[in-house]
Amino acid sequence: MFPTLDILNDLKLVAPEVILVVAMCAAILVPFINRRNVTLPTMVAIIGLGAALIAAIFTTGQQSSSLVFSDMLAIDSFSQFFKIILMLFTLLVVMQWVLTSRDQTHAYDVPDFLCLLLGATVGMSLMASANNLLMILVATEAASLPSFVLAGFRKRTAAGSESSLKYVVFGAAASSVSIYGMSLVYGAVGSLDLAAVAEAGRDMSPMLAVGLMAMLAGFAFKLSAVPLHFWCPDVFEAAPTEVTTFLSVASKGAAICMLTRLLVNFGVTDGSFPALVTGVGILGAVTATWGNLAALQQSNIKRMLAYSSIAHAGYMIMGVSAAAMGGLNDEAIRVVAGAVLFYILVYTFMNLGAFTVAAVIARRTGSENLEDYAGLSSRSPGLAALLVVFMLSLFGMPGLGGFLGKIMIGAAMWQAGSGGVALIAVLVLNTLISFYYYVRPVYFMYLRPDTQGRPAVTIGPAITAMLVLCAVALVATGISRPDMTHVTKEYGRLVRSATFRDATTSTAATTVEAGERLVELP
Amino acid sequence: MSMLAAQMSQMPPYAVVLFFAFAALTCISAWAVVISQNIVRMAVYLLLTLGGAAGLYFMLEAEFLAAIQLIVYAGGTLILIIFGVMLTSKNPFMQLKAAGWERLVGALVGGLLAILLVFAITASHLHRLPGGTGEVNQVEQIGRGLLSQYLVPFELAAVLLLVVMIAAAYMARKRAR
Repeated sequence: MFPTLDILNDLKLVAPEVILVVAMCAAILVPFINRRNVTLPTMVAIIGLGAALIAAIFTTGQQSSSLVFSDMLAIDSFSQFFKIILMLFTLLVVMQWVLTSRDQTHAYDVPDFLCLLLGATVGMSLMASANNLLMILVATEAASLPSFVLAGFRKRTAAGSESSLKYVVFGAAASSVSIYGMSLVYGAVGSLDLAAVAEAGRDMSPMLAVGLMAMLAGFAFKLSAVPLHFWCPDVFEAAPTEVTTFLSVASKGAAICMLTRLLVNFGVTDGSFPALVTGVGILGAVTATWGNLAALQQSNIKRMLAYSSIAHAGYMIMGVSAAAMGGLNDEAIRVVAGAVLFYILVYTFMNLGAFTVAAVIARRTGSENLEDYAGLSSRSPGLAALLVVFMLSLFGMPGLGGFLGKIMIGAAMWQAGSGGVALIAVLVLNTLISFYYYVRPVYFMYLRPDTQGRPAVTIGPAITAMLVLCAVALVATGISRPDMTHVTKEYGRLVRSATFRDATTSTAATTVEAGERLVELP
Repeated sequence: MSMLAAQMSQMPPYAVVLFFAFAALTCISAWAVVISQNIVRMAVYLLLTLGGAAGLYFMLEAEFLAAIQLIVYAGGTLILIIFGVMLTSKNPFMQLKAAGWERLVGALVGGLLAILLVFAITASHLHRLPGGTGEVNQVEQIGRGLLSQYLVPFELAAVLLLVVMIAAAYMARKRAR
């Protein structure tokens, strides 16, 4: 009755996660050697992330795609490409933390911080692979719970504690709604496998519809989509900058990958979820618009970037909803999944760069207000120029990665028919709105003279190298149109669940069995 | 609704009485949790809600689940809540009062949600899942499931608990000197 497992083979495919768990345990154990040494746990985390990155690269190349651990996880080039981005990004976040604020963290707290960071990364990494509602639930919680504490890591500050508490309460409520939804789905379908749920959606019952809606509310929280976005600006403003950077990219990226997998699974059953898909599209459009409009009024750069991240999540949600509009073939799904991957890749560098600049400026001047960026171009011309690159890429300036990301999202929408055209209109309109607030820091830095004698911000070679790396990555992704888009499209292959695969693979029987079990009550 | 009635007619009469008793216990105490203004009382009502739910699990022949419900929720979690109140609240008999409009909005949202859920559940066909037959060893079945089909979520839950424990220890400890 229970499917046999080929555990050793499956374990190879989840090597990145296993390595991360080992590194996490190691990071919390090294203080037993020397409590005051901060380099040791940091090195452990960096080595662990590096090894996980290499493992992710290897597992991508090894096998094109497969469902492992009785269909719980989907290991395909889509999930593995996201994991490569995630590991690389987390590595850079650790660097950012070392370079900008490690000296503010007490030596005793360093292992805890790294352990939580790695723990959250494990959850996010598995979110991208989750192919079963139970797996989605546990992975999401594994990503969320450490994030709650990371957000309030400076536990002595009132703002930090408040934002952390807000995050916990919102998160707990969203998870419980989501779990209740999953229980309804299970009641209606009799299985938690995504393929079985998609199959059952062919004749949608009210219970399944309500269940899916409640479940999506949990996703919306992770994505900070608009009715559930209240936590985002507060948390992003009050959390330490490296945590904000981490959450703004990794947590949202993982949730968007999860949503893509869900909708692609549903979309292929002959477009049987039109209301759901339209709903997700509208959710994305509202999120993007609301995020942009709210960002217009912000004067704190971290808060502004928080709203900007809400808007970007909205763009990605719109793109994903296009994945499931109409009956899509493999090629079309690859375009959408590739666009999502490309967007996350570019978004990683834009946000990392922008937040790092904000962090070093806040470190030197003690202010995150845009007013205090006045005259930065004469005080620290290099830093100002780099921030311009990041801002313009976030806006979507042609020639930089952000522009190409939007073009690819737009191309994905274009395939989706008239609904997609409406989404493109929303995307273009929002991009125009966002111009104002992305250019505001540029205005302050270049056109507003500094009247208060604010100090110049000097940065060390390591931070310079990191920022230049981000900027170069944005320019490279921006001008390498045929290569990079081709690469992400290649990686945009999602393995689809049992019923849609050919019957030769070992675990295909499970869902069929679930289908036969569906005996209706009188 | 007719589905429920059909189900009821197949049950022995004492089971019907027990079902309604447990259901009433669960619902009435859940309602009492919401309207109560004293946090300790809320906890006690919550205990009754969880106990009622455990009774329903027993009736569904899910004995293991019912036992876990009693041990973990009614036993462990609830005691933690009381401890939490005791350790954090300056005044454990603090009154939690919601404003009038808050009650109105809450009642409205709750009512609408209840209508939606009742409609959704009664209008749909539930799929009969392989339930307890009374003879199968449930613990063995669950144990096998956790180590085969549900291995990854199970292991990930272990990792999750470790991380959460570290997080809680971090939050609770004083600043190190």
